[in-house]
Formats: sequence, C-alpha cells, structure tokens
Amino acid sequence: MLKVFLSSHGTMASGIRKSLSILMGECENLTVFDAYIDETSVQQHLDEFYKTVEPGDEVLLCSDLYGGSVNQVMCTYLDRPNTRLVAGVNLIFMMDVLGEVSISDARLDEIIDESREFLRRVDLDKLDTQPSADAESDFF
Amino acid sequence: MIKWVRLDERMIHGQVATKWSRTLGVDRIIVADDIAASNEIMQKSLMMAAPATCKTAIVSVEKGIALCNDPRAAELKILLIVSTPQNLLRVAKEVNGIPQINVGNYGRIAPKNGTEQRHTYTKNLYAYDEEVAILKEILATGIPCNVQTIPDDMPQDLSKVLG
Repeated sequence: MLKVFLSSHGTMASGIRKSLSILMGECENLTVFDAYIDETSVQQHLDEFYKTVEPGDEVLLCSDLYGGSVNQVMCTYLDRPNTRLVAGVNLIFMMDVLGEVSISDARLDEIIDESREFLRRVDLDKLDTQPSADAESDFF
Repeated sequence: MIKWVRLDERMIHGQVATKWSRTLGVDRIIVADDIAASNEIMQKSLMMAAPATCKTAIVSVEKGIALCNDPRAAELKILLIVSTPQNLLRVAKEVNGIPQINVGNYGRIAPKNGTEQRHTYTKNLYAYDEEVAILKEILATGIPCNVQTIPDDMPQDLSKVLG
C-alpha cells in the first residue's frame, strides 16, 4: 500500500491536507508535518512515520521546495526500502498520487509531468478545450 | 441517451467532471444553464475543467433538454448537469428516459434569501424549505435520486437525506 509523508516550511503541508479534505475527503495514507513551527524536527517525524511502514508498502516522501532544508532531510531517507522523493509538489500532484493504491516509477513520472502542466498562465483565448459549438452537427 | 443527471451548483469544476465522466463512461457532457450559456467568460472558465475526452456543450436549459431528447442522441452517452433544483425539476419532467438523478453539490454558493440560512443536509447539500419541496417533487417522478459528491463517496438515497 502507498504511504505518503508530506512536509513543508510552516503550514503548507497541513494546509494542503485541509484542501485535500475538501476536494477528496480524508486521506488515511497521508501523514503531514509542518516544520519549523515547534521544536520537533523533520527527522523525528520521519522516524515516527517509518515505524508505521510495513514490508511491501510503497513510501512517497513529498517536500515543498527542491533544494530546501525539508527536502535535504528527506534525501537522507532515500536508502530506506521502497522510498521515493518528490520535491515541489502542488495540489493536483497530491490529489493524483493519493488516489492510487500503488504507483510504478513510470506512472509517478507521468503524474509529475501532468501536474507540472497545471502551473500555467490562464489565457481565455488559448484554452485547450473549447465548448462544443452551438451547431448541433458538432455535438452529434 | 441520457446516462446521468447531476445537480451541481458549481457545474463543471476541479476533477469532478473528469472523475464522473470516467466512472460513468460518458462521451458527452451537457451543462444546461441559462446564465452560463449567455456568458462567454463563464463558458471559457467552465471549459477549463472539462475533460479532454468528452465533448462538452454549455447551453440553455431548453436547448439541453432538446439535445437529450433528439433522436441523434440515442447512441451517445450523456451526462447532463444543472445548477439549481428548479432546473433539475424541469429536466426531470422533460428529458426522456433518465435512469438516475444525482445531487452532487448545492446550497453553499447559490443566492440567499436575504440573511436567511439554508438548512444543512450533508456537507455538500444545503437547502431552504422551498428547495426541499422541489427536491421532493423530483423524488415523486419516480426517478432514482441519490446524494453523492464524487464517485469515491458512498451514495445515499435522497429521500433518506431529506428526511
């Protein structure tokens, strides 16, 4: 089963969890930690998290910022079994990932590419999809 | 033919249309709403959430009903979305062969009666008594009606939810 650990500088991680709860309900396989708010460290929370990981589980670590300190700590856990790390996650990435029970490397890369597309300038004249023209011939 | 009629005050938004269109296996989405049909910017912003796999039409309620009842629609699998209980009632009465009505999201953003609050029925269904009366009229048509926001949720019977 896929288990996800998301951490960020401050409350982005728990903020994402709150947004996700509105969009898709509670996610039991998601653990979050808002770093630098209290005196505990990302390592402590990661160590606690890994106690809940069972053989055969897939672990996905998610950080807010590539090159940031949260991500740097997570890098040191990449030698744990079945562990992958994605930096700079956005909301759609979290939604897509949490909807899966298991994710292959190829599928993970696909989700990352698709999620990246969602960071975009909105130009009403250049939409990917136009409404079906009023002409019925187009609809039928 | 019509596969599913959904009441969602936000019409097409987020992943909702994509999830439902995949789950239902539809190839056409009709948003039947007089306001959206007459507002080009609204149409464009709604289309941002439309699935790439499905032709989506944003038309008036009357036109949406006509499209569903058109003989050429017989081989299509249509998801019809309306945004108010009134429009849902009209569709329930005028569209032929509806197998299922789905109450997805209503009452959080719909215009209020002054300062009066809607009653809460589920976390995504809020309604005034007049609106509940309309929903009960819809139940009286005999078409199965459920309350379900996304396909992952457990569907509930509308009659049980309204009490």
